Amino acid sequence: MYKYVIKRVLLMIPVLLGISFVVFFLMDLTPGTPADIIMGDLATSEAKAALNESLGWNRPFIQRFLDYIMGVFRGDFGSSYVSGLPVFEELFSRFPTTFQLALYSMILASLIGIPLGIACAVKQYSLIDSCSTIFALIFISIPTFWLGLMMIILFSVQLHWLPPNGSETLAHFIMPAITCAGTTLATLIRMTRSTMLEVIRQDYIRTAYAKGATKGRVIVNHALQNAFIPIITIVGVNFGYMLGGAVITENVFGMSGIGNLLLSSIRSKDIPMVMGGVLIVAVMFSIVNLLLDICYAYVDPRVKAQYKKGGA
Amino acid sequence: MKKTKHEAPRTDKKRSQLLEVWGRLKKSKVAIAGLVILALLILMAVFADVLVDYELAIAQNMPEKLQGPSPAHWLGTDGFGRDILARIIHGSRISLSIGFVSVIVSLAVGGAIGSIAGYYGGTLDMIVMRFIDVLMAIPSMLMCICVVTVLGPGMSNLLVAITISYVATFCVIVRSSILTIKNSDYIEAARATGVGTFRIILKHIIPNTMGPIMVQATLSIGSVILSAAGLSFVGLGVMPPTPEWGAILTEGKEFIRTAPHIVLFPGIAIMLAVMSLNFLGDGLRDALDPRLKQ
Repeated sequence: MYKYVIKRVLLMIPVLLGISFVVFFLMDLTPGTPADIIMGDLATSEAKAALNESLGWNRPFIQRFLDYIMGVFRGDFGSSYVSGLPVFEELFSRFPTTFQLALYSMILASLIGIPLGIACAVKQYSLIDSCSTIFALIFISIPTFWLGLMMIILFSVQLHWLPPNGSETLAHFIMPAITCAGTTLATLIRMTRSTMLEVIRQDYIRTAYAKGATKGRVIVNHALQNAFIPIITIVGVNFGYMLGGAVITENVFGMSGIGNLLLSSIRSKDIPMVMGGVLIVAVMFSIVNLLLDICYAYVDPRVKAQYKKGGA
Repeated sequence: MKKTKHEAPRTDKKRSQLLEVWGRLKKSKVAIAGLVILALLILMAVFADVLVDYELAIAQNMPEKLQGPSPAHWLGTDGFGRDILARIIHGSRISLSIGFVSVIVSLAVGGAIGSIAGYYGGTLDMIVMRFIDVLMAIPSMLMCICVVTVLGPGMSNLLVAITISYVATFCVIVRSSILTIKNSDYIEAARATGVGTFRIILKHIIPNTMGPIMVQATLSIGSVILSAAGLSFVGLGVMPPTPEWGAILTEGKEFIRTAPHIVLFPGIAIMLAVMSLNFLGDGLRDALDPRLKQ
């Protein structure tokens, strides 16, 4: 098992290098130089040229890229052009907001989505089944920012129940978490339903009923356990994506998470900040995917046996 | 969806297959509802000029700004006094064409790359797929934001950005469906009779992979419309005064306390469009599923 983990971690390196190259290249193409961002419009062009020179901006693209990568390997992510703070510090201070938002919305989506999906499968073609299917399809179709704005209008402007923006208390996270949970919730309902439908028709389920197990026991102990892989995949992958910052949701609710930071950094050509952010996002995403694969082994003995047999 | 009659003549195989799918699609009320809504929206986009003058959607009329829905302005007016209904009708042209064009282009580009990689396999496949891995690991929203920042905001650049971020998705889907049928007996038979590679891909492989690809394409149009609106929302979409749905909504953001209708109606338009595509795509998936055939 550990061999497999090491192999996966090593495989992450070329992908991360590739991502860094693509993003570095794209950022290089945007107009403006670092000195324009650091010194603003008032500085003289000589001063700007000198600063660009000292930052190594005038050297060839490939050399700058290699310098950056070498820096990252030494643990130096550089400093933001805009705030002057070290990139790592800034990202670290934003991370809790993004993490909480991802966590709450995934919990919300799972708590509603999985039971609803199971109910749909157990009572196929019933009223609850068709209602949840339509509800799921409608929920995927709602633009997230619109849902967010509508909730602000209703719960903040009209009813004054919840704060419209910020990220200080748990109350600040309620509306953003609902907004973010929407898509995952809808996908979860549909995926849980279709997987459970397949599992319920298996022979071992009939055997369990034949032994005299109650319906609840069969569903929870026999069927759900075998339907778990696609379900944790959806929750995991979406959690991974969310750790990269929900750009739009954070923007709607004025939250200081990674998504908002990345958006403003890209727009102001804050290259070290963008690079650091994108790398963190990609690493998080890969780690979550790796954890998911390890999870499979615990949920499904067949997968575990494969690791033992192959040794990799 | 249970009983499917083979009424179509068996001689014309292609047609009968299409008819069979249509027959099964017809039975899904949700899919037909989606199809009808989508058709209405497309008609609205095509005949936008007949319905309302483009001037009404663009020209500012400050004395009538921020009005709620009334007989004169069915959906009210925005911060510049422009009729929101007129803007939504003309916006359907922009929003729907962004959806359809970028999906068609990224399907063509991604499909071409994916089919070549999948068909030939080996080193070429390895190199292409590692590159696709990199593209897939960058969240599509970030990718779009980066590309739009490089190219500058505007409708055509928005199209490029969204297309780039969807190429990888289609590449993966087309490649995997090619891998599953590449070694089928009928492909081997075609090769044995001396059919060229290009012809095999075009005539034998592509038609047989169309099902899942069509479903994915239909659903993608919906998500493209959502992404485009989202990019407009963070200020990287089409430029004002062009009436893209997301842009109309975003312009209403500052009046959210006093005139929430500006935000409400374009949102409903986006939702209807995406919903119709999702209903249709979902119905298509069921209609094309061979396991549901009888």
